[in-house]
Amino acid sequence: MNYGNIAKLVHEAVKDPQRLLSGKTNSFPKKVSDNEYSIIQNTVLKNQAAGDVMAIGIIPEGLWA
Amino acid sequence: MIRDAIDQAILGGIKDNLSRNQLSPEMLQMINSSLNADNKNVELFKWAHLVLMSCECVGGSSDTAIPGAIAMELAALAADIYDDIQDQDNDDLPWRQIPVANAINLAICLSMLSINTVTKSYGEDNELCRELCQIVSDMWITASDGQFQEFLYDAKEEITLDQYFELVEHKSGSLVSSACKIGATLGGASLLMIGQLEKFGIDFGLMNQIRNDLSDFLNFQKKNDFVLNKKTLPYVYLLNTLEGENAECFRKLRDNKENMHEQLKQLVVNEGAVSYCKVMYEIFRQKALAIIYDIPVSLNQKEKMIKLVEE
Repeated sequence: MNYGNIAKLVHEAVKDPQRLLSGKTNSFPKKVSDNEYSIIQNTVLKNQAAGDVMAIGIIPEGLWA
Repeated sequence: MIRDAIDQAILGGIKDNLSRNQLSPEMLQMINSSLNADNKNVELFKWAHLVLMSCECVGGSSDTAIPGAIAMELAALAADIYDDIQDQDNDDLPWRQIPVANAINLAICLSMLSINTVTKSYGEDNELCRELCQIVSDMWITASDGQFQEFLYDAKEEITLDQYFELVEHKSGSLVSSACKIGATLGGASLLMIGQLEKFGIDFGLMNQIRNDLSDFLNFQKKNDFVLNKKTLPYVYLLNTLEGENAECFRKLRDNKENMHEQLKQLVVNEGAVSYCKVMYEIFRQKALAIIYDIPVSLNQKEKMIKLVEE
Protein backbone atom coordinates (compact mmCIF):
# COMPACT_ATOMS: atom_id res chain seq x y z
CA MET A 1 0.00 0.00 0.00
CA ASN A 2 1.38 3.41 -0.92
CA TYR A 3 0.08 5.98 1.53
CA GLY A 4 1.44 8.88 -0.48
CA ASN A 5 -0.22 7.79 -3.73
CA ILE A 6 -3.55 7.39 -1.97
CA ALA A 7 -3.13 10.88 -0.50
CA LYS A 8 -2.37 12.39 -3.92
CA LEU A 9 -5.39 10.75 -5.46
CA VAL A 10 -7.67 11.86 -2.62
CA HIS A 11 -6.36 15.40 -2.95
CA GLU A 12 -7.06 15.46 -6.68
CA ALA A 13 -10.43 13.84 -6.18
CA VAL A 14 -11.74 16.44 -3.71
CA LYS A 15 -10.71 19.17 -6.15
CA ASP A 16 -12.43 17.54 -9.10
CA PRO A 17 -14.91 14.85 -8.05
CA GLN A 18 -16.39 14.59 -11.56
CA ARG A 19 -13.09 13.44 -12.97
CA LEU A 20 -13.01 10.84 -10.23
CA LEU A 21 -16.45 9.63 -11.29
CA SER A 22 -15.40 9.40 -14.90
CA GLY A 23 -12.40 7.30 -13.97
CA LYS A 24 -9.96 9.81 -15.47
CA THR A 25 -7.69 10.45 -12.56
CA ASN A 26 -4.51 12.39 -12.87
CA SER A 27 -1.58 12.72 -15.15
CA PHE A 28 0.59 10.29 -13.24
CA PRO A 29 -0.11 6.56 -13.49
CA LYS A 30 -2.69 5.23 -11.09
CA LYS A 31 -0.63 3.57 -8.41
CA VAL A 32 -3.42 2.48 -6.10
CA SER A 33 -5.21 -0.83 -6.17
CA ASP A 34 -8.69 -1.17 -7.65
CA ASN A 35 -10.11 -1.62 -4.17
CA GLU A 36 -8.33 1.49 -2.85
CA TYR A 37 -9.62 3.46 -5.85
CA SER A 38 -13.14 2.29 -5.18
CA ILE A 39 -12.90 3.29 -1.52
CA ILE A 40 -11.63 6.73 -2.53
CA GLN A 41 -14.51 7.18 -4.98
CA ASN A 42 -17.15 6.20 -2.44
CA THR A 43 -15.68 8.31 0.36
CA VAL A 44 -15.11 11.50 -1.60
CA LEU A 45 -18.52 11.40 -3.24
CA LYS A 46 -20.22 10.70 0.08
CA ASN A 47 -18.44 13.66 1.68
CA GLN A 48 -19.40 15.90 -1.22
CA ALA A 49 -23.02 14.99 -0.68
CA ALA A 50 -22.86 15.58 3.10
CA GLY A 51 -21.55 19.14 2.87
CA ASP A 52 -21.39 20.23 6.52
CA VAL A 53 -17.82 20.35 7.75
CA MET A 54 -18.44 19.12 11.27
CA ALA A 55 -20.81 16.37 10.18
CA ILE A 56 -18.34 14.87 7.74
CA GLY A 57 -15.37 15.29 10.03
CA ILE A 58 -16.48 12.41 12.15
CA ILE A 59 -15.99 8.68 11.92
CA PRO A 60 -18.64 7.03 14.09
CA GLU A 61 -17.39 5.21 17.15
CA GLY A 62 -17.85 1.48 16.96
CA LEU A 63 -18.48 -1.02 19.71
CA TRP A 64 -14.96 -0.54 20.99
CA ALA A 65 -13.78 3.04 21.12
CA MET B 1 -21.06 -15.20 30.90
CA ILE B 2 -23.11 -12.08 30.20
CA ARG B 3 -21.37 -8.74 30.15
CA ASP B 4 -22.43 -7.57 33.64
CA ALA B 5 -21.23 -10.79 35.21
CA ILE B 6 -17.93 -10.49 33.34
CA ASP B 7 -17.51 -6.90 34.51
CA GLN B 8 -18.14 -8.03 38.09
CA ALA B 9 -15.55 -10.78 37.71
CA ILE B 10 -13.01 -8.28 36.32
CA LEU B 11 -13.70 -5.80 39.09
CA GLY B 12 -13.47 -8.55 41.70
CA GLY B 13 -10.16 -9.70 40.28
CA ILE B 14 -8.77 -6.17 40.32
CA LYS B 15 -9.88 -5.65 43.93
CA ASP B 16 -8.26 -8.94 45.00
CA ASN B 17 -5.03 -7.90 43.34
CA LEU B 18 -5.05 -4.48 44.97
CA SER B 19 -5.72 -5.82 48.45
CA ARG B 20 -3.00 -8.47 48.00
CA ASN B 21 -0.48 -5.72 47.37
CA GLN B 22 -1.33 -3.69 50.49
CA LEU B 23 -1.29 -0.31 48.77
CA SER B 24 -1.79 2.97 50.58
CA PRO B 25 -5.41 4.24 50.81
CA GLU B 26 -4.50 7.22 48.64
CA MET B 27 -3.06 5.05 45.85
CA LEU B 28 -6.07 2.73 46.07
CA GLN B 29 -8.41 5.65 45.76
CA MET B 30 -6.56 6.98 42.70
CA ILE B 31 -6.59 3.58 41.00
CA ASN B 32 -10.30 3.13 41.65
CA SER B 33 -11.18 6.57 40.31
CA SER B 34 -8.95 6.06 37.26
CA LEU B 35 -10.44 2.75 36.13
CA ASN B 36 -12.80 3.42 33.20
CA ALA B 37 -12.40 7.19 33.65
CA ASP B 38 -11.51 7.57 29.97
CA ASN B 39 -14.28 5.33 28.65
CA LYS B 40 -16.44 7.28 26.23
CA ASN B 41 -18.94 4.44 26.03
CA VAL B 42 -21.07 3.16 28.87
CA GLU B 43 -19.37 -0.24 28.63
CA LEU B 44 -16.57 -0.85 31.09
CA PHE B 45 -13.14 -2.44 30.89
CA LYS B 46 -12.85 -2.27 27.12
CA TRP B 47 -9.30 -3.64 27.03
CA ALA B 48 -10.19 -6.60 29.22
CA HIS B 49 -13.15 -7.35 26.98
CA LEU B 50 -10.95 -7.25 23.88
CA VAL B 51 -8.72 -9.91 25.46
CA LEU B 52 -11.76 -12.03 26.31
CA MET B 53 -13.25 -11.66 22.81
CA SER B 54 -9.97 -12.73 21.29
CA CYS B 55 -9.81 -15.72 23.65
CA GLU B 56 -13.35 -16.79 22.80
CA CYS B 57 -12.67 -16.31 19.10
CA VAL B 58 -10.03 -19.07 19.18
CA GLY B 59 -12.20 -21.35 21.29
CA GLY B 60 -10.87 -20.50 24.74
CA SER B 61 -12.79 -19.94 27.97
CA SER B 62 -13.26 -16.43 29.31
CA ASP B 63 -13.13 -17.78 32.89
CA THR B 64 -9.46 -18.70 32.61
CA ALA B 65 -8.67 -15.55 30.66
CA ILE B 66 -9.97 -13.06 33.26
CA PRO B 67 -6.57 -12.49 34.97
CA GLY B 68 -4.89 -11.91 31.59
CA ALA B 69 -7.71 -9.55 30.68
CA ILE B 70 -7.21 -7.65 33.94
CA ALA B 71 -3.47 -7.45 33.28
CA MET B 72 -4.15 -5.84 29.89
CA GLU B 73 -6.71 -3.42 31.37
CA LEU B 74 -4.20 -2.20 33.97
CA ALA B 75 -1.36 -1.95 31.44
CA ALA B 76 -3.53 0.03 29.02
CA LEU B 77 -4.57 2.41 31.79
CA ALA B 78 -0.90 2.96 32.67
CA ALA B 79 -0.15 3.65 28.99
CA ASP B 80 -3.03 6.16 28.82
CA ILE B 81 -1.70 7.99 31.87
CA TYR B 82 1.84 8.21 30.48
CA ASP B 83 0.44 9.40 27.15
CA ASP B 84 -1.72 12.14 28.69
CA ILE B 85 1.15 13.40 30.86
CA GLN B 86 3.38 13.66 27.83
CA ASP B 87 0.73 15.14 25.55
CA GLN B 88 -0.54 17.51 28.25
CA ASP B 89 -4.17 16.90 27.38
CA ASN B 90 -7.34 15.34 28.74
CA ASP B 91 -7.16 17.72 31.67
CA ASP B 92 -10.48 16.54 33.07
CA LEU B 93 -9.25 13.02 33.83
CA PRO B 94 -8.30 12.03 37.41
CA TRP B 95 -4.58 11.54 36.71
CA ARG B 96 -4.34 15.00 35.21
CA GLN B 97 -5.65 16.58 38.38
CA ILE B 98 -2.84 15.37 40.64
CA PRO B 99 0.83 16.44 40.57
CA VAL B 100 2.69 14.99 37.59
CA ALA B 101 5.09 13.12 39.88
CA ASN B 102 2.17 11.29 41.47
CA ALA B 103 0.59 10.57 38.11
CA ILE B 104 3.85 8.96 37.01
CA ASN B 105 3.95 6.90 40.20
CA LEU B 106 0.36 5.85 39.61
CA ALA B 107 1.27 4.67 36.09
CA ILE B 108 4.34 2.79 37.34
CA CYS B 109 2.24 1.06 40.00
CA LEU B 110 -0.40 0.04 37.43
CA SER B 111 2.28 -1.30 35.05
CA MET B 112 3.70 -3.50 37.79
CA LEU B 113 0.25 -4.57 39.02
CA SER B 114 -0.39 -5.74 35.47
CA ILE B 115 2.62 -8.10 35.53
CA ASN B 116 1.83 -9.08 39.10
CA THR B 117 -1.65 -10.20 38.02
CA VAL B 118 -0.15 -12.53 35.42
CA THR B 119 2.48 -14.09 37.68
CA LYS B 120 0.20 -14.56 40.67
CA SER B 121 -2.70 -15.96 38.65
CA TYR B 122 -0.88 -18.25 36.22
CA GLY B 123 2.14 -19.18 38.31
CA GLU B 124 5.61 -17.86 37.77
CA ASP B 125 7.23 -21.11 36.65
CA ASN B 126 5.26 -22.10 33.63
CA GLU B 127 5.36 -21.55 29.92
CA LEU B 128 2.02 -19.72 29.75
CA CYS B 129 3.15 -17.14 32.28
CA ARG B 130 6.42 -16.65 30.39
CA GLU B 131 4.58 -16.16 27.09
CA LEU B 132 2.18 -13.63 28.59
CA CYS B 133 4.98 -11.69 30.27
CA GLN B 134 6.86 -11.70 26.97
CA ILE B 135 3.84 -10.24 25.15
CA VAL B 136 3.43 -7.50 27.77
CA SER B 137 7.12 -6.59 27.85
CA ASP B 138 7.31 -6.56 24.03
CA MET B 139 4.29 -4.27 24.06
CA TRP B 140 5.93 -1.81 26.45
CA ILE B 141 9.18 -1.80 24.49
CA THR B 142 7.42 -1.16 21.16
CA ALA B 143 4.93 1.36 22.54
CA SER B 144 7.54 3.40 24.42
CA ASP B 145 9.82 3.42 21.39
CA GLY B 146 6.86 4.68 19.40
CA GLN B 147 6.18 7.36 21.99
CA PHE B 148 9.85 8.35 21.85
CA GLN B 149 9.65 8.67 18.07
CA GLU B 150 6.44 10.66 18.35
CA PHE B 151 8.19 13.34 20.35
CA LEU B 152 11.06 13.49 17.89
CA TYR B 153 8.57 13.89 15.07
CA ASP B 154 6.61 16.59 16.86
CA ALA B 155 9.78 18.67 17.02
CA LYS B 156 10.28 18.31 13.26
CA GLU B 157 8.73 20.56 10.66
CA GLU B 158 7.57 17.67 8.53
CA ILE B 159 7.22 13.92 8.49
CA THR B 160 6.07 11.58 5.75
CA LEU B 161 2.87 9.57 5.71
CA ASP B 162 4.99 6.41 5.87
CA GLN B 163 6.56 7.66 9.09
CA TYR B 164 3.14 8.45 10.53
CA PHE B 165 1.73 4.98 9.87
CA GLU B 166 4.85 3.25 11.16
CA LEU B 167 4.58 5.32 14.33
CA VAL B 168 0.92 4.49 14.89
CA GLU B 169 1.61 0.80 14.37
CA HIS B 170 4.15 1.02 17.16
CA LYS B 171 2.00 3.08 19.50
CA SER B 172 -1.68 2.23 19.25
CA GLY B 173 -1.19 -0.85 17.12
CA SER B 174 1.09 -2.51 19.66
CA LEU B 175 -1.39 -2.12 22.52
CA VAL B 176 -4.36 -3.44 20.59
CA SER B 177 -2.41 -6.29 19.00
CA SER B 178 -1.04 -7.26 22.43
CA ALA B 179 -4.55 -7.47 23.84
CA CYS B 180 -5.51 -9.76 20.96
CA LYS B 181 -2.35 -11.86 21.38
CA ILE B 182 -2.91 -12.26 25.13
CA GLY B 183 -6.45 -13.45 24.48
CA ALA B 184 -5.39 -15.82 21.73
CA THR B 185 -2.55 -17.24 23.85
CA LEU B 186 -4.87 -17.79 26.79
CA GLY B 187 -7.32 -19.47 24.43
CA GLY B 188 -4.69 -22.00 23.41
CA ALA B 189 -4.52 -20.79 19.81
CA SER B 190 -1.94 -22.07 17.35
CA LEU B 191 0.97 -19.81 16.45
CA LEU B 192 -0.71 -19.16 13.11
CA MET B 193 -3.92 -17.94 14.76
CA ILE B 194 -2.01 -15.86 17.30
CA GLY B 195 -0.24 -14.24 14.35
CA GLN B 196 -3.53 -13.57 12.59
CA LEU B 197 -5.02 -11.93 15.65
CA GLU B 198 -1.86 -9.92 16.13
CA LYS B 199 -2.26 -8.51 12.58
CA PHE B 200 -5.94 -7.91 13.20
CA GLY B 201 -5.01 -5.98 16.34
CA ILE B 202 -2.59 -3.76 14.44
CA ASP B 203 -5.19 -2.89 11.79
CA PHE B 204 -7.90 -2.38 14.40
CA GLY B 205 -5.53 -0.17 16.40
CA LEU B 206 -4.84 1.89 13.28
CA MET B 207 -8.57 2.31 12.68
CA ASN B 208 -9.10 3.63 16.18
CA GLN B 209 -6.12 5.96 16.04
CA ILE B 210 -7.24 7.44 12.71
CA ARG B 211 -10.71 8.06 14.10
CA ASN B 212 -9.27 9.70 17.23
CA ASP B 213 -6.83 11.82 15.21
CA LEU B 214 -9.60 13.21 13.04
CA SER B 215 -11.91 13.90 15.96
CA ASP B 216 -9.17 15.42 18.14
CA PHE B 217 -7.69 17.58 15.39
CA LEU B 218 -10.83 19.67 15.29
CA ASN B 219 -11.55 19.54 19.02
CA PHE B 220 -9.93 22.78 20.07
CA GLN B 221 -11.54 22.89 23.51
CA LYS B 222 -10.30 19.61 24.87
CA LYS B 223 -7.28 18.70 22.78
CA ASN B 224 -4.10 20.54 21.89
CA ASP B 225 -3.08 18.61 18.82
CA PHE B 226 -2.72 21.45 16.33
CA VAL B 227 -1.33 23.90 18.86
CA LEU B 228 1.38 21.43 19.87
CA ASN B 229 2.26 20.54 16.22
CA LYS B 230 1.30 16.96 16.94
CA LYS B 231 1.71 14.88 13.83
CA THR B 232 -1.81 13.53 13.59
CA LEU B 233 -3.06 12.10 10.31
CA PRO B 234 -4.94 15.23 9.14
CA TYR B 235 -1.86 17.31 9.96
CA VAL B 236 0.59 14.98 8.20
CA TYR B 237 -1.72 14.69 5.20
CA LEU B 238 -1.86 18.47 4.83
CA LEU B 239 1.92 18.75 5.22
CA ASN B 240 2.43 16.26 2.41
CA THR B 241 -0.21 17.42 -0.07
CA LEU B 242 -0.55 21.19 0.15
CA GLU B 243 1.30 23.31 -2.37
CA GLY B 244 1.58 26.96 -3.27
CA GLU B 245 -0.88 29.35 -1.62
CA ASN B 246 -2.58 26.68 0.45
CA ALA B 247 0.73 25.46 1.84
CA GLU B 248 1.58 29.06 2.76
CA CYS B 249 -1.82 29.49 4.40
CA PHE B 250 -1.27 26.34 6.45
CA ARG B 251 2.18 27.54 7.49
CA LYS B 252 0.69 30.83 8.67
CA LEU B 253 -1.99 29.02 10.65
CA ARG B 254 0.73 26.94 12.29
CA ASP B 255 2.76 30.01 13.18
CA ASN B 256 -0.15 32.09 14.37
CA LYS B 257 -2.33 29.74 16.31
CA GLU B 258 -4.90 32.19 17.56
CA ASN B 259 -8.24 32.62 15.78
CA MET B 260 -7.47 29.89 13.28
CA HIS B 261 -10.28 27.44 14.05
CA GLU B 262 -12.64 28.24 11.17
CA GLN B 263 -9.88 28.54 8.59
CA LEU B 264 -8.36 25.26 9.72
CA LYS B 265 -11.70 23.46 9.55
CA GLN B 266 -12.24 24.66 5.97
CA LEU B 267 -8.73 23.63 4.97
CA VAL B 268 -9.20 20.18 6.48
CA VAL B 269 -12.36 19.63 4.46
CA ASN B 270 -11.54 21.42 1.20
CA GLU B 271 -8.09 19.90 0.81
CA GLY B 272 -9.25 16.36 1.49
CA ALA B 273 -7.82 15.70 4.97
CA VAL B 274 -11.18 14.44 6.21
CA SER B 275 -11.63 12.29 3.12
CA TYR B 276 -8.13 10.85 3.45
CA CYS B 277 -8.71 9.89 7.09
CA LYS B 278 -11.96 8.20 6.15
CA VAL B 279 -10.37 6.41 3.19
CA MET B 280 -7.53 5.06 5.32
CA TYR B 281 -9.94 4.09 8.07
CA GLU B 282 -12.00 2.11 5.56
CA ILE B 283 -8.93 0.45 4.04
CA PHE B 284 -7.76 -0.78 7.44
CA ARG B 285 -11.30 -1.78 8.39
CA GLN B 286 -11.57 -4.00 5.33
CA LYS B 287 -8.14 -5.50 6.02
CA ALA B 288 -9.09 -6.27 9.63
CA LEU B 289 -12.40 -7.81 8.55
CA ALA B 290 -10.66 -9.98 5.96
CA ILE B 291 -8.24 -11.29 8.58
CA ILE B 292 -11.06 -12.25 10.92
CA TYR B 293 -13.02 -14.02 8.18
CA ASP B 294 -9.85 -15.91 7.35
CA ILE B 295 -9.38 -17.31 10.87
CA PRO B 296 -10.31 -21.01 10.69
CA VAL B 297 -13.03 -21.10 13.35
CA SER B 298 -16.82 -21.06 13.11
CA LEU B 299 -18.59 -17.77 12.33
CA ASN B 300 -20.34 -18.05 15.66
CA GLN B 301 -17.03 -18.12 17.53
CA LYS B 302 -15.69 -15.02 15.85
CA GLU B 303 -18.97 -13.13 15.75
CA LYS B 304 -17.93 -10.57 18.39
CA MET B 305 -14.65 -9.83 16.63
CA ILE B 306 -16.51 -9.35 13.34
CA LYS B 307 -18.89 -6.90 15.01
CA LEU B 308 -15.92 -4.79 16.12
CA VAL B 309 -15.03 -4.00 12.53
CA GLU B 310 -18.11 -4.48 10.42
CA GLU B 311 -19.91 -1.37 9.17
